[in-house]
Amino acid sequence: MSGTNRPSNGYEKKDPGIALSVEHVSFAYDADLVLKDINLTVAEGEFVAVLGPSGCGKTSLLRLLAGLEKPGSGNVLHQGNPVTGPNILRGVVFQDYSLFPWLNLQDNLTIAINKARKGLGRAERNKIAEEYLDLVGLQGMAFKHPYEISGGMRQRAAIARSLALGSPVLLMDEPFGALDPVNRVRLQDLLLQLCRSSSTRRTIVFVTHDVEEALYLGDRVVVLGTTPGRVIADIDVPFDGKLQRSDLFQAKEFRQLEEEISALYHEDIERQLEAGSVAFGEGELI
Amino acid sequence: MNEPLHNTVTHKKRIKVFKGFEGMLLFVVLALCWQLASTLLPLRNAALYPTPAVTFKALQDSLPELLKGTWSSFLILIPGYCLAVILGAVWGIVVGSVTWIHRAFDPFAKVAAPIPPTVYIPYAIALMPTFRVSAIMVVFIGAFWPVFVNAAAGAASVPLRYRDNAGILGFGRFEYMRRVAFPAALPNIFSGMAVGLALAFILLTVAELFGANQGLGRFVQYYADYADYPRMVAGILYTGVVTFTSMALLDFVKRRVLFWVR
Repeated sequence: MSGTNRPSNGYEKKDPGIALSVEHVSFAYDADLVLKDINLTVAEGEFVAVLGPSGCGKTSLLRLLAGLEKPGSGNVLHQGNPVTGPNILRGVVFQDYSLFPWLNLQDNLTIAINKARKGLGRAERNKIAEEYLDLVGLQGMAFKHPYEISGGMRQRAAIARSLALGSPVLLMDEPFGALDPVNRVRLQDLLLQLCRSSSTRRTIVFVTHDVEEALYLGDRVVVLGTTPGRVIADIDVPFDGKLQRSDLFQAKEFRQLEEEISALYHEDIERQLEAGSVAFGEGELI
Repeated sequence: MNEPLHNTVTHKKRIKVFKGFEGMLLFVVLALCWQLASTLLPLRNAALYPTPAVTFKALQDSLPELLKGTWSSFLILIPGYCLAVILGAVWGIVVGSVTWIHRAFDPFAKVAAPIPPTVYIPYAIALMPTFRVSAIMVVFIGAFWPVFVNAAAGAASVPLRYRDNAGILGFGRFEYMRRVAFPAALPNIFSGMAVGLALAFILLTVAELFGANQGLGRFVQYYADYADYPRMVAGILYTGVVTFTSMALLDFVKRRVLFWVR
């Protein structure tokens, strides 16, 4: 992120309609209650980071928003309509498996382009795929297969695919979780830059367990506690995005917020330890 | 310091040559045993044990006949096997992907698949107008089940991540089967195809013992009837080579198609 506006605050100029709302949602896997009475609204064009430790059900929350799971009770709404299944209106980027391994990057993208804009010729689709690959810095990689490229490149391609899908809502499940720190930073900046540059702001829900990442990317950070997952804090991120990455990380307010959230984390975990029910290393992949 | 380095390189090369050689060793040993047994052992019925030299002479002499037989056999094998692969894969994907079809078809498949396909041969010959059609049918039945069972298992166990992706891309049922379930099940389909091909060869040769007037199985049976054991053994060896080549070809195709499987 180099000296440009962070995408925050931009949406406030428009009427912030509600994109997604989660109303009293509970969700269980078999007998285990994963999410308990979650309430959450996400405004149009808002970038919400959902932050929580392993096993807090943040992936389940994302899958509910995507329509890949159905809530045990409560409602998940997209623009006021109940979410009944996955829909290309809500694109998803997973941690490391958004692409089909048997297709090269171009074909992985044209599948999405085909869905977003019907009736295009093959040449046109390929050209658009090329454009999106350029956008994420994968020039000349169209004919590579996922197994031939690094994890960072795969995630770039996954982002390109979700952009090509043209979904107004983008759900991201720890998309940079499996990357090394350098690539992670580069992709965070790429994501912000892409959000910023598009004329219509996308609504993004970004799941992560990394406090810094959540604060850096999100306009708002929703903190989940564990066992069962529930919202323990909902924090507006006050930085106005004119700061550079390094300045931001040094800013006093940023550090304070980070400490606050970390304290919330630890409080919750300690409470769980006392209750004797926290399971280390279980639950979702990190 | 150059020389020791040079030495290690040649040493490595020697090991490499030896590694390729290992696989051939058993063949050489077996051929040697064959030679020794057929020439030195005081066997009671020597005609049953042709020496390698005699056998290879017989192989050479009957090569035109064997090639013609191969052609005839392949006219049965290829249609039967290809039909089995296409229908087995397609139907397997459908049964593995659509729950109600699975529920409807699975009990029948569980009963029908384990029946040894050789028992169909006499009935198929009685049922069908020509021997060729009946043999094709038997090869088809034999190769169909392994392909089908594997394709269905592969389609039913498509990893969640691919199914999630299909959902997110808004794939309909047909598109899901064609673009996700089929490629995801391809490794299983190829396993089924290998089993199916081996079975197809067995069924082909057995069927030819029953009623063919040419073909690989028929060749062996014919010269056994006339006690021409050099030609019979030559036929067995030749059939082995044909089967091996076919399996190797399938393996080659598999490697090309499944390049993305690591």
